[in-house]
Amino acid sequence: MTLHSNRPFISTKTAEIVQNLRQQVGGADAGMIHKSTVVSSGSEAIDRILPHPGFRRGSLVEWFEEQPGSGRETVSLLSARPALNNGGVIVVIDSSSMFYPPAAAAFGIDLERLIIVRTQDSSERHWAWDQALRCPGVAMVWGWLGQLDSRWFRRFQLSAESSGALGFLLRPARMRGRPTWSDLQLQVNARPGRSSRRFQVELVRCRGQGSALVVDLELNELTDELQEFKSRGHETNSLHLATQLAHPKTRRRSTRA
Amino acid sequence: MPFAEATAISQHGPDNHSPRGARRSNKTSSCEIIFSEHTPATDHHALQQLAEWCEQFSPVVGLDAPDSASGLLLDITGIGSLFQGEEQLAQLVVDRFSDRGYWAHVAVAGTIGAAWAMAHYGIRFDSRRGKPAEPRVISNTETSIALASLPIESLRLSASSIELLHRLGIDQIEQLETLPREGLVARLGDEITLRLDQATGQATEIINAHHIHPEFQSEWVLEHPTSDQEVILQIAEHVCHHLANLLQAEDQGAVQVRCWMETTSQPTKVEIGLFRPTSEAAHLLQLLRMQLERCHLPGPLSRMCLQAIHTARITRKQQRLWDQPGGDPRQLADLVDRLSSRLGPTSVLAARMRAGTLPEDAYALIPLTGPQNSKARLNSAAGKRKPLGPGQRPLQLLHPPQPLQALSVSHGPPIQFSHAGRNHRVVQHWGPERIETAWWHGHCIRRDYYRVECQTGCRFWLFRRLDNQHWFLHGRF
Repeated sequence: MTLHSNRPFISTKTAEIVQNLRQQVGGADAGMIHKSTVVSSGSEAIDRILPHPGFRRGSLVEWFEEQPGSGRETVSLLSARPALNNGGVIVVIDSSSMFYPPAAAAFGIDLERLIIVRTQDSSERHWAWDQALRCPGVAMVWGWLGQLDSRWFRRFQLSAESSGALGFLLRPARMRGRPTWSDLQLQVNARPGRSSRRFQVELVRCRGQGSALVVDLELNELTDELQEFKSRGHETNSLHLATQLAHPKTRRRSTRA
Repeated sequence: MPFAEATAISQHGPDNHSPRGARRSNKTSSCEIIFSEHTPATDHHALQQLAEWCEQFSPVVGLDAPDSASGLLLDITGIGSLFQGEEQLAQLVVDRFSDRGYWAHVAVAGTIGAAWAMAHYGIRFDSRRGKPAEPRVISNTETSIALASLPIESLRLSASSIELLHRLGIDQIEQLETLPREGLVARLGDEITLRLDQATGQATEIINAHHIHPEFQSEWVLEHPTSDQEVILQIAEHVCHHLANLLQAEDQGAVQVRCWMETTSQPTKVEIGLFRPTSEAAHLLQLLRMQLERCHLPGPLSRMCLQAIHTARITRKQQRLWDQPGGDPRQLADLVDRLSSRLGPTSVLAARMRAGTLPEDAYALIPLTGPQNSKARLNSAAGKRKPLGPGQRPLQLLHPPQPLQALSVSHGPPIQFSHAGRNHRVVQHWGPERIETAWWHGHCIRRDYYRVECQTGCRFWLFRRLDNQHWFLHGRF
């Protein structure tokens, strides 16, 4: 018996090579990022508004806030925790000497896997970011970062890609909307809560896509998890269709009320 | 420094015609008094730096006391002949200190005790002369005679012994020497007789050298000093390779490395701390190059000396730094070394919880490189502390806390406050959480902390000081 087909024969190995090449090019549109290159945020609700779902290893994520005290540090650090599950350390670039390790420890960050780097000026700060991002033993680089020129930004992106480290850049609100080399831009807005802390996380920008998704979250202080909560009154988004929205083909722009 | 001594200094200001302690405003020369807080740690550090600088006179230089040092001890045994005599050496030390802006009291004697006594109490100094005092050199035969007229304070006795002797009417050393030794020991203990014997040479005493000359060092001496950066880097490469070979031969790795660079003016020193012991020349050279690129030599280089001042045995089996899957310990260690080398050893830190009361004392930051990074130190910094719940403490703690204008009812929680140009109305609060330090820690600090949520949902950590009811912002959640 012979099998005949008009399609050219593609070996399994070739298919794998093609898939890897797609991943390297960053084929997020096709949703073909391999699972091992994506790390979850630890929150299903946040993962749903992210393209992969989760954060792509070797990428940069910018975090903005509406105003101080919005909870950006809390949400971003909780989202950084899962990046340590496969080993490595978290490097905190703390130029203002404001990072408070006991609070991080209370959120389950192992202090023995935390390195704090303090710098005096912007050139030292940028250099330290670059060095940490390019180290293969570093799982996450987290810290506040102000003005950053395009050259350094691009360098950060290449360093992160080369090592597979994830960079969470906490940036001032005035930087939102500026040209960027980051994969994702997220903004955390505070929301009035009751006993539990509440936030709104907005996907401002995703590389290759023009989406603006939001999700309302509540911090479960028993489990340290960020869980979605539905606000009463008008719906600010249609996330009850979250499973459909998560599919890249059905993602559409939504406007925030 | 006690206020009484500070007043005495101001009487002998640079302009001797000015009224005592006054500022001259209408003359060309001015006599201005600068007041600043005495910080013993800063003084101690400065003295340590001078000790290193004095190694140009003697290879053995030490501080005269481990913690409350006020002077330096130099062993010049056999060195006087290199400087045309001990008197010339002593004068040279005085002149070199004077060039650096210090008026040094220098005494040379056959014993540490006698030299200390003469330097502190045996030199007559009048600052109105406008120049440092002449050094004193005492031969071994003159020691007893020279010491006799000195006060008992020159024997380096404890304050309690001095007070007791004064009460007994003993003010000078010659009075002590006339008393029977057995009686002194029986009534006043061993300290006085020991100090007397050390001063007269009947008991031995050694200098605790500030720097013990390391076992592993490599140096390069230039016949013709140079400022050429390329040449300097090549010399650095040579000494790194040589030092690495010495370390490898003994299966040792450097944990702290010091590079001395002598120039035609004054020496320069750079120190490199390492996270893990290393004997790799390339790694040492990389770190040294980073330091050399940032360091400015005051003159052409005449000698470079690279020393491994702390070493540790290199274990053959690579132990994992962090016992988790993934994460290459070697690459992480290299990262830490590079960061420390460029940013400084106090810029790359590990955090450990501590059992401190105040929030700012609840953790310690330990440098990750150098001999301080030992596991013992990292473990000893960890203190037992009641575990915090998530969200009980903010991720951003302000140093120092920022004063706030806050409105509250009587001694209750805040209702409204201003911060960063905005007015915040408090809609929820948790607290007060009273935090106060124990009285035996000195000045008592008492604060009532509140976690507050504002109408926007933003959360802050405020406290009110109980001594003056002032409000402060301490953290942002």
